[in-house]
Amino acid sequence: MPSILEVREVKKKFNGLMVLKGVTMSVEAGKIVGLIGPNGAGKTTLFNVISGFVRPDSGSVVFSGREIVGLAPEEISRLGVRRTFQLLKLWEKLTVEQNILVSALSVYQGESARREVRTTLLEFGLAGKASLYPTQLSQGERRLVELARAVVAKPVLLLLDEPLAGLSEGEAESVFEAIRRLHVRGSTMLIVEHRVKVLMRNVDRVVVMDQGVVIAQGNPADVVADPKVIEVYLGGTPP
Amino acid sequence: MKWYTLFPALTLFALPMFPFFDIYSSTLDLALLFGVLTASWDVLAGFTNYFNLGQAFMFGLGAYTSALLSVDWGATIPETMAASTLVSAIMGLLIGIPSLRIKGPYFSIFTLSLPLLFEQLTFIFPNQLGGERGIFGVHKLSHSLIGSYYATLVFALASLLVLYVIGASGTGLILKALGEDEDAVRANGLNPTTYKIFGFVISSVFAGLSGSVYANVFGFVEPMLFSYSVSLSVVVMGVLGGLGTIAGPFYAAFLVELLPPALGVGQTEATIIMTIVVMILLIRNPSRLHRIIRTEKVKVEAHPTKR
Amino acid sequence: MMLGIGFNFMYTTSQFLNFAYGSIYTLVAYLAYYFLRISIGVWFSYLLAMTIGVLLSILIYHFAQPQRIGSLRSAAFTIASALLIEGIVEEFFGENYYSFPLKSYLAGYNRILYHTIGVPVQNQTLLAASLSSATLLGVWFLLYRTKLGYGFRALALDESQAELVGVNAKLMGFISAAVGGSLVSEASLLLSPSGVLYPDMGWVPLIEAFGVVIVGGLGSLRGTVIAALGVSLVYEVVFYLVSPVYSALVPLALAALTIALRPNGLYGRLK
Repeated sequence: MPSILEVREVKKKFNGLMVLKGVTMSVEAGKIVGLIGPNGAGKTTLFNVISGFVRPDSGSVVFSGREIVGLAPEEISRLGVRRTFQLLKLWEKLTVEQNILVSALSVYQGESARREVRTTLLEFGLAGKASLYPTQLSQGERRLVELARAVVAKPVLLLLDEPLAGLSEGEAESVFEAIRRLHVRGSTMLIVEHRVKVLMRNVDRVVVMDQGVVIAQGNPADVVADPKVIEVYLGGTPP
Repeated sequence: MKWYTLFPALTLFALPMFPFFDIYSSTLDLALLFGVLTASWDVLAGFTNYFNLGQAFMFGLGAYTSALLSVDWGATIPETMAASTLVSAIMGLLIGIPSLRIKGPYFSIFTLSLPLLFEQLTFIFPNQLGGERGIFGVHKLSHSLIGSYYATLVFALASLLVLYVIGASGTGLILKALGEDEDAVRANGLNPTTYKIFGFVISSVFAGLSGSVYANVFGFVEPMLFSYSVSLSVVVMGVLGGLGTIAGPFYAAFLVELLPPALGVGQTEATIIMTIVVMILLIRNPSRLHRIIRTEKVKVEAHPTKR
Repeated sequence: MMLGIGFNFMYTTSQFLNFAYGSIYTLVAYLAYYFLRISIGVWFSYLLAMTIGVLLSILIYHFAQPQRIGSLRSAAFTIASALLIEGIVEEFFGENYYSFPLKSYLAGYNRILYHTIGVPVQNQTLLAASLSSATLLGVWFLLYRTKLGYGFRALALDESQAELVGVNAKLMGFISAAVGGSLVSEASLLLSPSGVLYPDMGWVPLIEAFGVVIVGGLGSLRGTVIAALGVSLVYEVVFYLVSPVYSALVPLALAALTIALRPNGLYGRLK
């Protein structure tokens, strides 16, 4: 199976602190990969590097055979890598529909853009809330909107940064339902999540990071039993 | 931004029927042009929150371009207007490309210096640019008051329409998104700078065009056109009308310009009144003209399916 | 050197951009002129004008605190206040009031210097230079040697952290408004007598000050000082070597250059 994304020896230093010490991992097409690790492991930074918001000091990121380090975030986006953010970045002054439309406009024009938006709204069950503003939605719905926004342009790779954060059990379930549907359609995804149990049940592979490096990767069962991983979670909840 | 906000503007066609028209026609003309100027300012400022503090620069640029072409080269009015458009667009690009990449406050500070720049130029080259007294004898659009008024009105309404359509379009949406969160825009595949430049160029072009019309209606131009009071008034009037609504700033500017004759006060006093009003509004809640309408709309929609 | 004062007042607004400083500058100048005209006595006039300037600065800050109403409305408010102040000045003193400077015993050239160097140096300039250096030292002292100054620097670096350590952000805000106001007023009193007064006069110094601040970087005193000295140096050079007219563009050109090369200025850090 071809690798859609390959991260090789990515290093990044912030103000003298080595946040990423040489991260190497890959994501195969059509798979869901979970990225877990304690706080400060460098997961979000890795996301930022992949999506182009942060430039690594060294290393390479190859997407669909193409080196994307050094490209602007919007270029990387257009190439097919879309992401969501840990702290939701919805445009509060725009309606749900408009939020998604802006993203659609990066790839589509005029009427076809609006059509895509409508389709996406239906898929996510948001059609009834299209003209509402994000502040009028529940947290779960807001997460769905951000997801919909990331998906309307039919990205090849989706980076989801803690899509379930702040959600109740029920809300988390519906958001994950949406994610699962995307997977069924063949989307490749890399998901950072702290709700490790939910993650483990639904991913094809797991990558565990700690202190700026990958300490384990493989299928969920193996990773859970890996002594290094258990050690890292000592004092916290074991996965 | 609802399209029905454009309707009140249509009433302006009826104005020449009123008896006071003759005395105030030039004030009306000016008010219309300021309306367009402020609306054009809103395209950038109201959406992306990049406050251009030197909008008068483009206005003066357009005016002077038209004036120069008319007086020195005998160009016809359409030619001068086309030229103004071109010049404004080019200047918009030249200024916008470097300056829109930086953060909002820096941009504002930078634009503040633009009118000053032009003013300096008029003094450095008094012969070509008329110095303090300005340039006279510009070919007039029409020698009748009504003619001038209707011409200006058509221009103003057409501009307002175009600006409004742009604001309501997908591009306008993108600009609004930019004003809130640029990184999110990037993450969704759009280059912020490209759109900001677009907004700025549009803003400049219409500002320049209003200047051009000014020159052709009033027959002269002077350095006062780029004074700070003009630029800053545009900002204040824009805020007063409601950022991001295009129509709001247009009406606000139009009405404010009419204050002096309406209340029988001078220009300065009107400015004072206006600024006080805006200041009060700013400190209180955002209850500006169109915000009220917006909140009403949101309330209605917040009571969803009551079937 | 003249700019050396100008920069000072912008620094203090590191938390908050006050576009009205230009008009305060103008107002103070006019007030001083007015008070002198009605013969209250030189020192008192200056003091009174300056006090009013400071009070205004505090007042504007009070209403326009960015924390309370958002930085956008805050900026809009200061712009409106600027217009308002200018409008009032115009209202009372007339539009193009090319009224002449405050003639006092400060006018004229310093003969001693003239004889030694051969260059006529205006008394007013000397006063401006010395006072501004003194003020600069004072501000430096305040920022780097006193507890208050320490608080300021902490705030500039990280607001929430500073509050944890016990720095009262609100109070600091007002104090910095006061300091900013006094610097502007002082600048006005030192610079404007040597020129003419007109309602728009505050904008030129404001822009130059902004330019200097951009070069030096927002939020850092050291940067602004160095930038001011540097900019004025280039300014003077251009003035004498090239031509007086182009020199006005110097601060701006340098600012533009800085933005292009180093968007955060020499020493600055933008939030």
